[in-house]
Amino acid sequence: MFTEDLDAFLDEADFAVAATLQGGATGAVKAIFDAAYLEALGVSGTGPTALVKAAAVVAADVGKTLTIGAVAYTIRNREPQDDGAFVLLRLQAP
Amino acid sequence: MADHIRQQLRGAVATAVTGLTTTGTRVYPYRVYALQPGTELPCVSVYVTGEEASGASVGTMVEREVTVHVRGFAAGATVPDNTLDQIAKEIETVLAGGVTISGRAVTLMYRGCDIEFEAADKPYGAIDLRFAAMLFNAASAPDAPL
Repeated sequence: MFTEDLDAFLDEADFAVAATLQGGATGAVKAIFDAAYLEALGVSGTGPTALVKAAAVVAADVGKTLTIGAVAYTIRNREPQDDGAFVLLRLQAP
Repeated sequence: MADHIRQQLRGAVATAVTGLTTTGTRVYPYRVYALQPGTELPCVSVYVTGEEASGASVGTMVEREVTVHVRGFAAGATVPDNTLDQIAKEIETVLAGGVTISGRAVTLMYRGCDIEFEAADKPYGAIDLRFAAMLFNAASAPDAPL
């Protein structure tokens, strides 16, 4: 059976960054982080997200922090992408 | 010539809600551009989006019922419902005594509110408090309340 190398999509030499899941090893989660502009109720804000391998952040991790750079975001939602190999994490800033 | 009585009313309400404990001097007119969370929250926005008018029974007098919106905004680590209710408490308290425009006392009747929440990088909330004011003026003098 063909086994996909999902890490190829999360190369830190390209767009991914090392992130630390609360209770996990430092920098163990590879994530493509985005914080696009998002206006909520007329207030200027951003919508931080992290695309990670589904196995790296499981459903039970929702509510934990994911530290990216020096910022400890709280994981608020975990959205499976396409075939479910990746999930998009919706993050709350501290 | 004085400002239109609607403008005078907005100004008087904005003055009345300036300096409240939660929102301080962060009192703005209607915002068509986004509020900046780092410097402008929590805050209130004072504006009028319309009025109902009818001819009064005396001469050419105009009777207006103006709805003034006092909209509070807040953000928080959790849904800021408590902050919004605190903002509402402070606004309702200070507006209970009405305002004065051109030397005329104007009563503000609380007409209700709508509360909204939305998530971005943190939870944001807004409370839209509606107050009705009855204003009278001569048809030829919309700047002079009777």
